[in-house]
Amino acid sequence: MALDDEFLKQIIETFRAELEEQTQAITDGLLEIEHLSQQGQDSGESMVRVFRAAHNIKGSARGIGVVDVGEIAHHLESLFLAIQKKLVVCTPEVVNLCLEAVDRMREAMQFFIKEKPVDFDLEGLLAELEKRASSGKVADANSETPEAEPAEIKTATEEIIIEEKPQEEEITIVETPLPKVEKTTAALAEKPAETEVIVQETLLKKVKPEEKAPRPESAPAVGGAEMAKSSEYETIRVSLYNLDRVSAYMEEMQINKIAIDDHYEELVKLNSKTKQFSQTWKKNVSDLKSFYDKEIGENIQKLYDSNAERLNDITATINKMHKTMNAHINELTVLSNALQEEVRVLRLIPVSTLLRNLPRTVRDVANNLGKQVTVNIKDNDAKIDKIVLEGIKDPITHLLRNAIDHGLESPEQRKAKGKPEVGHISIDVKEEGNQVVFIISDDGAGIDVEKIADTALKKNIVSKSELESMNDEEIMELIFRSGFSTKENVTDISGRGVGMDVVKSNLTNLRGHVNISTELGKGTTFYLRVPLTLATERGLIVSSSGQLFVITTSSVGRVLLLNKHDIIEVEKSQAILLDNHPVSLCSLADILNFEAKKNAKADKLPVVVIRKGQKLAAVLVDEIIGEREIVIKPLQAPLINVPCVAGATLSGSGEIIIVLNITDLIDKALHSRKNIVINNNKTEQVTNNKPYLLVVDDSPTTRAFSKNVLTNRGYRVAVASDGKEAWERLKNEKFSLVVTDVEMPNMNGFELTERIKKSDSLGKLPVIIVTSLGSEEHRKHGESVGADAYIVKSQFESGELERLVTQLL
Amino acid sequence: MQCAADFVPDDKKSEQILRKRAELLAKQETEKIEKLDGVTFVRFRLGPHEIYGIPYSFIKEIMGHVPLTKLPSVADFMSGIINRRGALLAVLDLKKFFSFASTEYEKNSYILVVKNGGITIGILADGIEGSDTYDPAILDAPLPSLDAIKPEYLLGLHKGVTSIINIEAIMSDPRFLQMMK
Repeated sequence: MALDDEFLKQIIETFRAELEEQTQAITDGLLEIEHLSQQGQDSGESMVRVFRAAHNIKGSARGIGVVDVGEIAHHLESLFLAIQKKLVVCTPEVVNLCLEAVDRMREAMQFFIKEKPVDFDLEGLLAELEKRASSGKVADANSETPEAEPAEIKTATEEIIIEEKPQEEEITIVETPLPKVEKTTAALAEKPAETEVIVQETLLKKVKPEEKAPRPESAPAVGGAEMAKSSEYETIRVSLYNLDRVSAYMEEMQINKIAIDDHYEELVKLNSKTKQFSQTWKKNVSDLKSFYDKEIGENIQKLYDSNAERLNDITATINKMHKTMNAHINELTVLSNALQEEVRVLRLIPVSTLLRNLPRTVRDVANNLGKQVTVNIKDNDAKIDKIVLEGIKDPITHLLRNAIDHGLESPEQRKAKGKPEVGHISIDVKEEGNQVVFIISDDGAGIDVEKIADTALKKNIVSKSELESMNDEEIMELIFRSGFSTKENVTDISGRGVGMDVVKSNLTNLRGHVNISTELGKGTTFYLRVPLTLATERGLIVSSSGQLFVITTSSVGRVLLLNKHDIIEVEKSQAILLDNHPVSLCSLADILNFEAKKNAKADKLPVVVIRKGQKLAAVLVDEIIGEREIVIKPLQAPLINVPCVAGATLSGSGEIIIVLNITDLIDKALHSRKNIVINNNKTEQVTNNKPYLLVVDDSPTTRAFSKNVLTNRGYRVAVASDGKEAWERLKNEKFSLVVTDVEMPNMNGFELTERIKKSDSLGKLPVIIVTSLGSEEHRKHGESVGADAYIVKSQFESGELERLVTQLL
Repeated sequence: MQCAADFVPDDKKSEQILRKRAELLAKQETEKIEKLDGVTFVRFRLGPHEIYGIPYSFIKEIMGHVPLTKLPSVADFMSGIINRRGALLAVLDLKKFFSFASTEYEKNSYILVVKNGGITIGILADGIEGSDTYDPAILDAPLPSLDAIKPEYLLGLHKGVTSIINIEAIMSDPRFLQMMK
């Protein structure tokens, strides 16, 4: 009975798609009805449409046995009928209830697929719907439920037939579709083949123009436009599996094409080599001839002539091959690129599939917040990869919620500012080359840069000095940092503090980015840029431990060639300074636990700064080879979860290049304790000229701060976290000065100073005592143990520390 | 235009009949071979002398030497991955898996491509020694001393020389399954 199961699955899938379409139609219709009735206009036509949609759902749902959906649809239908007959007024509450019912139908469908009972209060919902529907009955005794009146069934059984011309919708009356669907189920049990034919017939009916019945009434084009559009082109359904296969073969072909390109390059070289050889050959023969007298010369000429002829032949053949191959390769390049483009476009789906849900979201959020919002969406028929579209859904929804919640002012505020009370949000989608831009604008209050700066400072997202060096644009970017949320009272709509940073990281995952432009009092615009597709990526190829690796270009922050003295030590591990911020440095070989290649010549250290979200790490490699387009292949079972490996790509010659997993790589780099061993005396000599200072402090912040200040001054700086550790270091290394805190575990600053001053070898070493305690008693204690200078932490920023160090050295 | 697909019957009934017929044909064939001739297997060599066998029903292909790409942080018996016609194939080092004393391979090693339960892997071999057939009923019990290979990894000993490898046992070994978590 496997076939029957398969068939059932198919018909359920068909119904699921239909439910999706019809519930969307109801949602669109309801929003329109609400809008029209707010403006006091007649919404009769939209009403007819939502009623019909509910009826269709009811029929199909009952037909295939999705009872819960059928029940909800039935009650919705009754309610719509009551509204249509003007027995019930379509208030926002009623619309809310209907929208809830729509959501519940979708949920119930999910439960049906999972073969589980629904987890919401179905009875309650049905009762609520019934109560609403019957609330008008008392007023009009003549009204009846649609089930009771045959005439009503007739209007209810209208089916939409789409004409070829878009923007137009026709309605025809099909005799009795309801019993037919029931027949379908009856037949389903016995003759699957037959039922399929019936279903196909009904499906076909929707697109076959010949079967058009005379139109009994002409419905307005509004809601039907979307459905009509789908028939603009003749389409067939292709399974995703087939599409994937086509893409896979396309990739294989591309790889072979790259290999052919490589071979062709060889041929080009061979061509020029043979040409050169042929020329030198001729020259050599004539030179040789000149060494001998005429007779021998003639014989030599004869001897070599046949060879020369053959050589000419070979050269000519190679040349011809080169030329014709050139033409074919060019052709192949054009064709395969075009084919790849076509294959890529095959997977794209219209962005309208995402955007059509947004008016509903906007309405719900606005209602919740007591704001009035109109939304205007222009999708410009843009198409995009399904994965990208799915990934951008949450960011867009979040930005919309944000715009309504934080962006748009309350009606009173707007009135006071002389703006229309109803706020406006527009969503514009544009294709720009290989990218799609979603432009989301509101006409709200705009973002106050100073407020952003204040909040960021308050929440310790930036330091004051950092803030001072930032321009407005950079400050604006702060709202994407995690832990940022401007509105004082956090609402459940937006502002949960996980908003904007998620928007940013989602976009980064999609290899896209987000920009803001805002004008105070006028509004804010967000630009979300995403690539059309994620099928191919660009990757940076590096070598390490004699093997090649790819780092996806989107995660490369910077590529640097460092000198050895650029490596600093922070918290006992190595780092480099990037825009004055320390970034952990680790070699790729260490991260991957591969044996590092002994590279003697390494004068400059090639370093790739990788990033994932806010996290940065610097990775030392042996060589940076270059950048190219890559197609990532996933690893196959049993090697499913290999740390640090995202997959692999094949080079033109079929060689495997491992694509690194950036998340793992950064995690490992940040936790690595292995330091890079640089075995070069030269650097020692260079750095030895600089005074070597030891900073001792148990607070990592103070340590990093002091270190930063002193490193910037050109000193080499080592750190220790307490007196004991410092003492150990002092015994093994030669320092020029010690800066120590007082309060520390194991051995405090006074003890350390005392030990130093009492030691024979270290007695002359200058010691500066730093403390947050600025009391006279401490100063005296410091002096008594022999400290050379005493500084209070609050004096740090004034440059006092640097001054003292310079003075003492 | 007509194409080959047009001749394929598209009604469900014919399809079912054809499928059944195909299944029947496929079944009889294998059963016959097993009954009449026993199990054919490929003989291959690990190290200078030891001969092993894997039944042909698991073997997809025998490949000559292909450069291996090492992977970071994987079990030591996974020697790496190779490019098998565009797909990435994991290669198993049986010497390491069985904990042999010497785990060096000869220069011109081979890779046996083995498939079991939807998973395809490569197995390194020093040499291919030909084919043979064993009768599952009369395989000798594996020698207990044999380079300390656990007996569950072997189906038995053929003619006292060839150890027939139990691919299913290897590919359901905890160490092997660990990688798929």
